[in-house]
Amino acid sequence: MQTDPECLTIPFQSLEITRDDIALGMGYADGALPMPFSAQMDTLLAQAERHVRIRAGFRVLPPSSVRIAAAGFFIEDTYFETNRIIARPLRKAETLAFFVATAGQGITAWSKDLFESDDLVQAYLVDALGSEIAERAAERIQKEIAERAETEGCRITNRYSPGYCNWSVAEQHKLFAFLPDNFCSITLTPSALMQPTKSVSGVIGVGANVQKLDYECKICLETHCYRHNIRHM
Amino acid sequence: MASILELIATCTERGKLNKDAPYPPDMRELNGVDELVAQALSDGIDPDEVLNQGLMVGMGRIGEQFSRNEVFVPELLMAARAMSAGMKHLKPHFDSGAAKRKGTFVIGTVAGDLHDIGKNLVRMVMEGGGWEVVDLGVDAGVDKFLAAVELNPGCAVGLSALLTTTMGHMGDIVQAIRDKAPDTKILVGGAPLTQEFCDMIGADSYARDPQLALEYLSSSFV
Repeated sequence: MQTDPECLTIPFQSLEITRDDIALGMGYADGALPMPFSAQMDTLLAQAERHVRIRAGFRVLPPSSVRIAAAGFFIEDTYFETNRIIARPLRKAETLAFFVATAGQGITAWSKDLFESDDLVQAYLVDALGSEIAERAAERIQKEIAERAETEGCRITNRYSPGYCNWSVAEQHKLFAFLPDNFCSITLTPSALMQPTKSVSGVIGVGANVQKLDYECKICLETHCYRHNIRHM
Repeated sequence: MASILELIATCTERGKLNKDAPYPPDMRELNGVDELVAQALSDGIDPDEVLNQGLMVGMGRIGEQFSRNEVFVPELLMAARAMSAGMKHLKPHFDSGAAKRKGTFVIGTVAGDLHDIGKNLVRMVMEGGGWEVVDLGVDAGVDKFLAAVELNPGCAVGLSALLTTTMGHMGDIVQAIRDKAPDTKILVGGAPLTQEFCDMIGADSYARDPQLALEYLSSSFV
């Protein structure tokens, strides 16, 4: 299986994000976001559509260009040093898909405007919403890849991103080198950070014998990671 | 009847900004930090007492609740905002020298990391605690920190990171500061950090939450 780079635009409403989804990311138990934050979140969710431009894209690489190693993988002659935590679930992959997803620049600007007008809580809520949108958009593109893979008798792994599971964020430069310039309107800073800020990139394994775990953090023993202590600071 | 300092502490803890503020819902119509600090100063209470026995007590309480996962960032932000409202009344006393600034605190999110919510929270709490804060923003590398340390002799430094992969930059920054100004107090913080990591890179203190950062520095610069 292989595809050319493809970028999709995703309507905000189709992500079906609720205030409880965002509250969980902030640390609250389900349904426990107190007033007035819950009402503020509902208002922000109603306004979100005009501040976001959600795009997500992927490229499934030619299988002949992919080689999985013990602690990383090669695409052509480029070695991605993911470490064993990520290389292990990818080892049975026949090929790899690189993906990106973004909530767009507008949501960061919205949060910044609120922060500068001293509305700190709403700025934080918008920031948390932006993170949730980027993750949901990545989920959506993962589902798209899974559906394409299924038509060819393949399955997919979980998605893995530079910056997590001890995979250096600097490797994002290598990943973006295999995607078109400005793919889905996402660029990298010299220190390998994505612009817009609320963006996600990564890799997904594709093959007949790979599997997707219900809970991706199961593969990683990195107890320092904020996803184990989620507060979105 | 509660003393005015206790009322200031309670309003700070609960994030009650002023009388008009609707938050928290059970304190509507009551005076907030804004009115109470103004009243305390006009009653002749020493600004340092207002800060240390009122505002900081309230921030300490909410910080402890935050550490225990009883409240989360929104409640902490409301408290920090209420504290800032009180600090507006205290600022002229600090500026005139009637109350003393505790020192200068340089803070930034380290190179490779754009997350600034935690860093901003610490900044607000430190300002509220009587510190002059120099905020280097996000994606700040060694050179930026060294330049700030040079510009602010005797300052303390705070390094923030969210990503496990960017917290690695903290060690380089700590080492560079140690080489240039060995006595500088350096704090590290951020969701993935631990005391062990702090010890490993040679920082002075791991601040699990903003209040701990303030308490550590306040005790170190007495």
